[in-house]
Amino acid sequence: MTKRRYRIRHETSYQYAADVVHSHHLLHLVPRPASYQQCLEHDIDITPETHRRSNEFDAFGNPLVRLELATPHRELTVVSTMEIEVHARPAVLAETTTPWEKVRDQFAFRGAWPSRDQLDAARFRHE
Amino acid sequence: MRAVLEPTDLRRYDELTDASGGMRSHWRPLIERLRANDSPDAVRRSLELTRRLVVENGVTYNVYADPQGADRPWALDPLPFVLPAAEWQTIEAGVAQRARLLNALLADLYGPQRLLAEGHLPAELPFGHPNYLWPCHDLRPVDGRWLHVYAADLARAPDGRWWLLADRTQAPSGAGYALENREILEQVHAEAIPDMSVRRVRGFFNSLRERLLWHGHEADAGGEAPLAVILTPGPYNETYFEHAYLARQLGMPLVEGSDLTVRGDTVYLKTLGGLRRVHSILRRLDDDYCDPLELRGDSALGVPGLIGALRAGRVMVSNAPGTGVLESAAWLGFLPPIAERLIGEKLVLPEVATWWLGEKPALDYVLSNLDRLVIKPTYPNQRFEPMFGRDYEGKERDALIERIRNRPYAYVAQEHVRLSQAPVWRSAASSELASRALTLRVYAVATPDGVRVMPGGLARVAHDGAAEVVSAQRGGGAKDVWVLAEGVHEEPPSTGTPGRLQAQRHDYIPSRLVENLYWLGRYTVRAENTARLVLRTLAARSDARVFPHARQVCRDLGAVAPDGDVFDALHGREAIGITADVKHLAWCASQVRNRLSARYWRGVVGLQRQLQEAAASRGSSREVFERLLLSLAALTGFSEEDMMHDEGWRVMRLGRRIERMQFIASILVRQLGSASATRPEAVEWLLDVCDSTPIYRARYIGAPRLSQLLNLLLYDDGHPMALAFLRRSIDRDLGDLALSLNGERERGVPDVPLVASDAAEQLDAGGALGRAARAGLADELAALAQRCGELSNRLSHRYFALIESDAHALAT
Repeated sequence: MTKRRYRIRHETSYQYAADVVHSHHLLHLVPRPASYQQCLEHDIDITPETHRRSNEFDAFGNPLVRLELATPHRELTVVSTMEIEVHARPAVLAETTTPWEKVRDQFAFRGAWPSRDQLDAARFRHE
Repeated sequence: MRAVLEPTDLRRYDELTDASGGMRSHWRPLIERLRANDSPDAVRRSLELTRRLVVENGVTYNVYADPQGADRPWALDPLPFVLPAAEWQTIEAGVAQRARLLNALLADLYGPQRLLAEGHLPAELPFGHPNYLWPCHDLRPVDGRWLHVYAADLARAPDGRWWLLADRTQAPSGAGYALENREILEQVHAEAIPDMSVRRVRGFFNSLRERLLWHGHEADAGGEAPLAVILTPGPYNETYFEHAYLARQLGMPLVEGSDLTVRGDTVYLKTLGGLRRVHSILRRLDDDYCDPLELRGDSALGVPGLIGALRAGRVMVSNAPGTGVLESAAWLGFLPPIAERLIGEKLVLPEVATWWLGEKPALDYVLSNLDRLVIKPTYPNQRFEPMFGRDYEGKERDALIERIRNRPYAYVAQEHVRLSQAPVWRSAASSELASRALTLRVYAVATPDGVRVMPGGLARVAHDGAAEVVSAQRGGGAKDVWVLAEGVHEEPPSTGTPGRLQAQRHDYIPSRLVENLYWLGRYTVRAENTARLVLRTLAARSDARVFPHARQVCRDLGAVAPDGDVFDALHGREAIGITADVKHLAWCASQVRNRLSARYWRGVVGLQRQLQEAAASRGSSREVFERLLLSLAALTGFSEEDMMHDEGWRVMRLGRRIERMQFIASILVRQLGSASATRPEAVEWLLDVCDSTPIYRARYIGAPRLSQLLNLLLYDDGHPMALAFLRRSIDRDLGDLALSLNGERERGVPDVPLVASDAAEQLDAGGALGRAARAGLADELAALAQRCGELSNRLSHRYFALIESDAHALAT
């Protein structure tokens, strides 16, 4: 396999016991681009009609959709359809990677300028 | 008063006396003044006055209304803590500098993160901290500031210098207590304060208020008065007293998350009159609870969309969410070089020696000096008390070391600070002074002209003489802090205050408040109805002609459970009857605590106590219900006499009237459908239940008749229990409400069903004809009761949930 295309349809629906008059939502439904995967097209269909909708990225670079609904509703349906291209990824051999103890020690704070890689990784090292 | 000097502990600084045992000069004026009144009586009077003022404030502001005032974190010592002018200058400069530094640090952490890139800081400090909020990264607060209000915890070391113990950057608490303490001591020491030129603290709160209203001023040059609110987690928060107190002192609405709503990028307060734009928020909510949309999804306390509004620069939040990341001892060791890098200054206040154990050399040093160090958590979610290394021996010590070695970055070691000893007034029984360990919290607010430090603060003292740690959990006390002015001190004038800023409207009534007032009205009348129904039924227990009917009505109307008994009305299940009514009443009252008078609140507390005592004893139920009725009537009286007759009050009265109308209509329906409907005993019972016997007696003579009762309860527009009266007064209140809110008048309830005069006699008749006449009227009254319920729903949609104004706000 070198690359493969998938068409994905993902439907989420919520039912409420009483009218929801107004609401805010954040949707994380679009995969972020990577060397091994591309999202060729995507579409998100929402009922009821949205009052406001914008595409943004979060602080980690993930795409997100911001929604505001202002029509009273008892049901919310979000249908996400996309076409994704996935490339083959070379297998990772555990023996050839750096041992975790060493990685940990590399990240230890020494009061010196960290490398670019260390800095980039820092934000992902904590919950 | 004698200053009995306890054996001086040379390892500690004594605030009152110097090394040679003489009194320090800044204490002398106060102590001499107190000595002049040296009588046990004067001491006792001061203590009692202090205690009484504390209790009165507790009753005024606190939800739980503990008569002892024991729900507040600290007892207030009538003896203040005195600081001379020169010493204060250093503290003031140091705290102001730190406020500037920490704001710059936050701007870097949530912006370019240069300090991390340059190796000034380990990434573990910000990124491992639960209060570092990634959604706030790259956010630009509308006024460019992250930190508006800051507090520093200070202690005096044995060398006499003040040291920094900890920074409070999230939503510093206690400033309200500092103001309250001062106001109380101003009464206790009415002469000493001006004579000694003690600096005033109120100016700090004016600055804070101006700061909060400033954004509104900048943002809306045209017209609209800026609105600032205080956002509280609610009455169950342990510092709610302070929130309520500050709200009143600053003249700002005290709101909860559900009072606010974000539409587009704008924050609004839901008020009785519709949505009102909010320009700034003083939050007392923790960082991660502020916005369930982007932060903690499980937060029911926050405002969905608040971060978005902040990002759009449409609202100012003090302090910005995420500022709590600086609340960790781990920062201390890193700050001196950061101060040079960010603001080019050396720190004025020394910090307690601190080691973050994520660095190997620090870890090695600390493990070999454990005996003289205290181990603290790096992150607030680790939740353990500071551990004194010297307390750990043998296996315990090995376990502690193991624990640290597993996650060294999660621990901090600090040198143990020997707190200075300050004089406290021990008790009414003795005029002697005792010594207690003391820490000092000092507050700063950022104004457009720079950081302003409150010349005073909150001093806290340990619970006993041996204690080395000052902790609210272990008791202890608070002290007012008197900063002495040098000569005549002119307080800096408040920063440019356009007249308009003073015009902050604080009469906005949040919808949630109104809703609770409405239900407070309803539950008061519901409890009254239940109590009277049960009482009259108990009174009829020996009359077989009426009792079975009366008992059934009690069940039908929910005064007791469907299978319950009136004799057990006080011991029944919690969810039903008088117990439930009073519980709901008390809950609603607690939600609107700020708007009730002190005696109203005492009445609510008394009502709950009456019920608890009654449930515990097996005394006469009738007497209990008689007393409950009196207490309930008193509440209604207080609401008429003590409350401001504004829209909120009007809605409360609407609640009472709608509840009553529904009850009268419903009980008449039950009566009309009963086989004993026309029996004089049953009619008499019903008159009693509807509290109408005296009026009836004044009108009619002879045995009571159903048709006459109906005439009275349906049409008499001078009788407050009659449907016609209730309908008319509901109409009038709806009209007045619409008028004062400039809105359309809400539709009331339909007319009371008319009974033709010839039909009236049939109501008393037996046989099929009589039954049919009664059934016909019962149907109409049932419909009327239903209309009352519908009106209640419409009011709730329109004024409490703001469904109509929602649509309106979005359309414009």
